[in-house]
Amino acid sequence: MAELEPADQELLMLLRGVLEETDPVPGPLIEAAKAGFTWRTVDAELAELIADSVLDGAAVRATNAPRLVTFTAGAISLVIEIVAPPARAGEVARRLIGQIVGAPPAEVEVRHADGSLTVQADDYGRFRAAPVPPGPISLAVRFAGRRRPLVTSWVTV
Amino acid sequence: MRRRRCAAVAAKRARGRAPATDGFAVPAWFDRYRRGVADPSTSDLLRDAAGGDQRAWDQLVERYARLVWAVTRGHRLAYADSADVFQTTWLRLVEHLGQLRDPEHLAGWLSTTARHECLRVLRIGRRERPDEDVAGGADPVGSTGPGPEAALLVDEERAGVAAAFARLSERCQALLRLVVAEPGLSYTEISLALGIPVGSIGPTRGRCLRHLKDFLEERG
Repeated sequence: MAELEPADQELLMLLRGVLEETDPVPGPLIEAAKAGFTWRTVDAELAELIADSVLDGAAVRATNAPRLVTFTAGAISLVIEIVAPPARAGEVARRLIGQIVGAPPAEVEVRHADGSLTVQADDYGRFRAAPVPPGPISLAVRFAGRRRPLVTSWVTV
Repeated sequence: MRRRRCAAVAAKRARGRAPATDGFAVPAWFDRYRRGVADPSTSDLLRDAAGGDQRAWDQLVERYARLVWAVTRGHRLAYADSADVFQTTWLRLVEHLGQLRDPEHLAGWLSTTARHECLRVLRIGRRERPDEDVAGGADPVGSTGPGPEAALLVDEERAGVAAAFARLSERCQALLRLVVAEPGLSYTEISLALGIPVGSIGPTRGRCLRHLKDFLEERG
């Protein structure tokens, strides 16, 4: 930003102060971000978000098409469908329907802004979880046997 | 100086093995404080946070919160959605601390991650969510500019800047938010955070500043 004239730099400094005063980062959000550190996992393998139908689905998208989010870690993949209630129904909680592919039987913990809920995947790796409040979520998957647990990247639902 | 550095290295090595002085455990941050490094570098913070140091994490959040907020507020999101994007961005960093040791990349990583989450949330169109108590504060829904609090700015000059900024296009507001956000972003990082070509940032910034000054003058 060196090529700015002094008057412009001064104006930008003024603007910085104004924005800090009129649109500060809300204190509760900073506290929540700090508290989020407790979700840190040390022993788990990270499953990266590799696809999200809302971003990949180009322009042609049916209005009520289900949203599919895919994560992978090595040979294991995890697909979840996020079902949101219809708009203006007064209800906001989401339902998750998922499947873990390429893994032994597992327990799935859905971690979200207000806590977490744990469900058991069936023999085919399928699971359902509800209600899940809107906001960031991440799934922690613990397997029967010795395989390392897996956590997914966080994503907003 | 050399001796001090050696002591620091020794202290670093000793960390994690319950370093003790006079029988008291010395936390990592105190060790640095004692060495006269009051403001730890981002790379120290990243390393300590990756090692599980909550205090280092808190400092990272404080240092970069404005930047992440500037990105989310520049994307025409409802207030609750901005709040969710902000939260998701930090949670994602928690999981990626181990992979992100280079402090040079942190600002870019945070702003790019925040932008992607903004786009996701915009596409989901989840406006059905009531804007309840998410931020517990002022709630300028539908406007990304300063809210009515601008009127509270006692200083007339600052009030003038706030009013002029509110009249700018959304694109200009988004860009200027990032230009003034601390810690500063490179053109490449701003380009990633806003999804505009790097070559157009300089000219756009110039145009936005001109508009801002015009609006200020109109006000007299």
